[in-house]
Amino acid sequence: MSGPINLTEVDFDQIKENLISYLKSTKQFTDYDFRGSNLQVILNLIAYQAQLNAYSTNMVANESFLASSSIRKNVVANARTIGYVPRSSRSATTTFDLSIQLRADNYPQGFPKTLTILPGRIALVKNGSASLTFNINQPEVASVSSTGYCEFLDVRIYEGVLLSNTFVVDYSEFNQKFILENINIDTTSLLVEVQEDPNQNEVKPYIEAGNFVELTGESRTYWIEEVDKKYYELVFGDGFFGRKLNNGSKIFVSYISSNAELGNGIQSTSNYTFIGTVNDSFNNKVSESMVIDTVGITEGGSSIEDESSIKFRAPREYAAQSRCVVSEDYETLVRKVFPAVDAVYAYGGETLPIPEYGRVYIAIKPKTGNKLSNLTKKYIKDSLDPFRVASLDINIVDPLILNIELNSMVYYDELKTRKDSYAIVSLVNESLENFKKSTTTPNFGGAIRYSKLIGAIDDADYSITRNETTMTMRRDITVVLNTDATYEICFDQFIESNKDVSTLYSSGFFLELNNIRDLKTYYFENDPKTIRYERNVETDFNELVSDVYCFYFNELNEKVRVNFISKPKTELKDLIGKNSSTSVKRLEIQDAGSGFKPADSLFNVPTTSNGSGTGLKVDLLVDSQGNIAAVTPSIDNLGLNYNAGDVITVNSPKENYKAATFIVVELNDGTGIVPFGKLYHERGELLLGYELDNGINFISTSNQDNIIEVRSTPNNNDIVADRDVYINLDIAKSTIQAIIDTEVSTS
Amino acid sequence: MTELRRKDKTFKDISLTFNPSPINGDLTTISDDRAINNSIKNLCLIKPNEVPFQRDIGSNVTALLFEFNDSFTAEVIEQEIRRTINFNEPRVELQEVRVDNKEETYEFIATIKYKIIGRETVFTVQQILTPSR
Repeated sequence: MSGPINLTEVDFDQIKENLISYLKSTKQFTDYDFRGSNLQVILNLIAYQAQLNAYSTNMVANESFLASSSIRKNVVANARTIGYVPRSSRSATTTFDLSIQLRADNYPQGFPKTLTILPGRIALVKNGSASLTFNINQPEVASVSSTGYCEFLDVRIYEGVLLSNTFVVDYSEFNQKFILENINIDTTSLLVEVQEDPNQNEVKPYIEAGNFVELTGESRTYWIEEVDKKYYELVFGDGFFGRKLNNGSKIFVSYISSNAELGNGIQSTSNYTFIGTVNDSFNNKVSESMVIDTVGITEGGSSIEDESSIKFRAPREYAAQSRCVVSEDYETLVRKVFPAVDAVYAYGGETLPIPEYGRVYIAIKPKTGNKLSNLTKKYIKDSLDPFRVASLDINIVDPLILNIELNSMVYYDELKTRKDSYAIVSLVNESLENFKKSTTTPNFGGAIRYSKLIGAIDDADYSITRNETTMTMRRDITVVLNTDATYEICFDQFIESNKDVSTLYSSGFFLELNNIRDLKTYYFENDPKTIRYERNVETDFNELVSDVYCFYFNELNEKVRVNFISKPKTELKDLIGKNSSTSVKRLEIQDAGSGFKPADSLFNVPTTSNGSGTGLKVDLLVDSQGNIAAVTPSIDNLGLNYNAGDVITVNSPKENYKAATFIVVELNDGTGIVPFGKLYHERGELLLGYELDNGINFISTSNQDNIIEVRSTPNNNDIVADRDVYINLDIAKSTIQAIIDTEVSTS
Repeated sequence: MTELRRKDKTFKDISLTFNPSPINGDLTTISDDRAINNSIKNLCLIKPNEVPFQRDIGSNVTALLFEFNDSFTAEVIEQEIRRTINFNEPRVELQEVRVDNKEETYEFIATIKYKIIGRETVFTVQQILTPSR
């Protein structure tokens, strides 16, 4: 007996199988499973039609929801239902300073009071491969000095081509749409003006609608929406929310069509040529040429938002409701106001080791370079102002970029593959690239888990039997050349404290030592023999410390240490610092006396030659008999003009003490070998030059761009990114080797 | 003693002419050698990729008809028909395939002799192949 035809599948073969099963049950025909039979022709047709229907239905269902839609038009339409407008292209932008010197013979009647740069094209800029145009979108005015000198400061310029469109409102056209047919529009550059009365020349500016509740029937606003083909549609009010346009009104739209990322990363005035138009206050064109004085690096250019980004951001922005409340809100809104970010991470000041309440920190890694310019930071901060919760201060910080390098020996079984070692290495590299991109290893707030990492290497190819991998952390430090400076380099990870080998070392650099510049390449590394516990006076905990020394290689390729001698200090406060006991060379009680009370202190007013101040304080530890058991020198209200090596005698016990007491304190003169730097292992912090008299004067580095690479070995297997730490798995600088595993059983 | 008789399996297919049977008005069916002849004709004339999701069904015979009408092309067509039937039609055992070219009418005449597997009778099917688009 024939059963029902089961057509629940969406796969062609499966549908056909079901049809054949049905025919088998009918026993009417026998040729259904021969490829050339007529029945097969019919079955193919039916199965294909059923499959097409199933596919269409599936697509319709998929495209109806934001999470599953794949066609851009539908993704955008779904996002629109929750009020999300996909981000348009953005122009690269920067600011520059211009100046001009007017010639007196051009102005026999006297110099004009002001000069104006007209909106439009202002500079032609070379980016190495193409020539780009930068524009200003509003006139810039500056005053002219009595000598005819005029300066324009911080002029903001935008990359792209300034274009304009005009529409005429026509009620006779059913469902008239105002569509800007350009996919490269930077919608933030839109200027919309409307000639509301066709008979009068007056035009009124319209602004993009913001908060819906503030709109009235007279508000001159427009909305912008993405429509088909990545074009944008302007929508005007209906007379209740936003002013309704009259029949015959003219809409003038100007905007910048941007080249997105192409405009990023350009600096140096030599790349710029001024092509703007400058008018004086007499409305004459200025003939003198404008000079570009300084220019910032261009940044912020980005392409139109892609579908995956819309699907990711739309629900989050809806959740944020245009308010910065939880940290995810900040991340979403930063991407909205400044799209050219690679990664962003926000955290509250209360999570810092020393909590800062009422502050929000946002670490931003831009798409180009490693940090944002101060101007861009200010722009982002200002742009977030309307969204932030009142009283919460926003701090934008540079990410602490922590590069992770791998040193991996990959073993493979040659019987299981025909690939050679190079092919295996290339597969491992590819697998690591995927691991880097995977969502399980986010750059901010994520972690590189050792077990996952070595798993990714093992999974790169079937033939890989095992791998031996170590991780090294690297920070690239940009040093200030030809300047005495100290450096603080944070890894924010526990650095291994191995007592046999150095766990922190640097790339090469050149130094000025004792005012002499030699050609030796210097390096630094930590001295494992100096690993010790030191008390941290701030936290009152002991922490693991080691000294960092500087060295070079001699002709025998041996390490030669460079000793840095600290000069004697002239002021006691410099000498003593925070830990006074280390600065005291000798402490002697000449006549202890008796009758002291516990916790007594003695003070010494220095002699007049030692200047002002009440000077040295000596805390006493007094035993039960009232005798001094121990003394601790410290400083209280320092005076000036102490000399290193001064001997101070505390000899003025107060009257109620039974006997006179003389305590002799001889101060250390401070000379001696001091370390080049100090490494705090547990908090992963390296301080360079803090012990030296004048800091460190780097004159060059072995790497380009004044960078010293500092590498260290982590103590833990996993590297966790906390707060502003941005983890970057640096595969290009990793060492990966593949060799045949000789330990594999070949039976 | 009962005589042993072999019961041949019947192959039964529908006719794509979709003419109703003059007797009962049902869809016309075709069986055995007619069904198989039809299948062979179908296989030879289906172009590869014509059947959805089954690229390997069909033959290049149609394309070959547009080659020169000579004995070499006829030989290639012959090979192609043989391959197609051996590969796609499990019911037959090929006896002979012959393709003759007729230059004056620009056509090929294919004659295929086969046995249905399990039976002794040799069936012959002849098809005139003309290039037409």
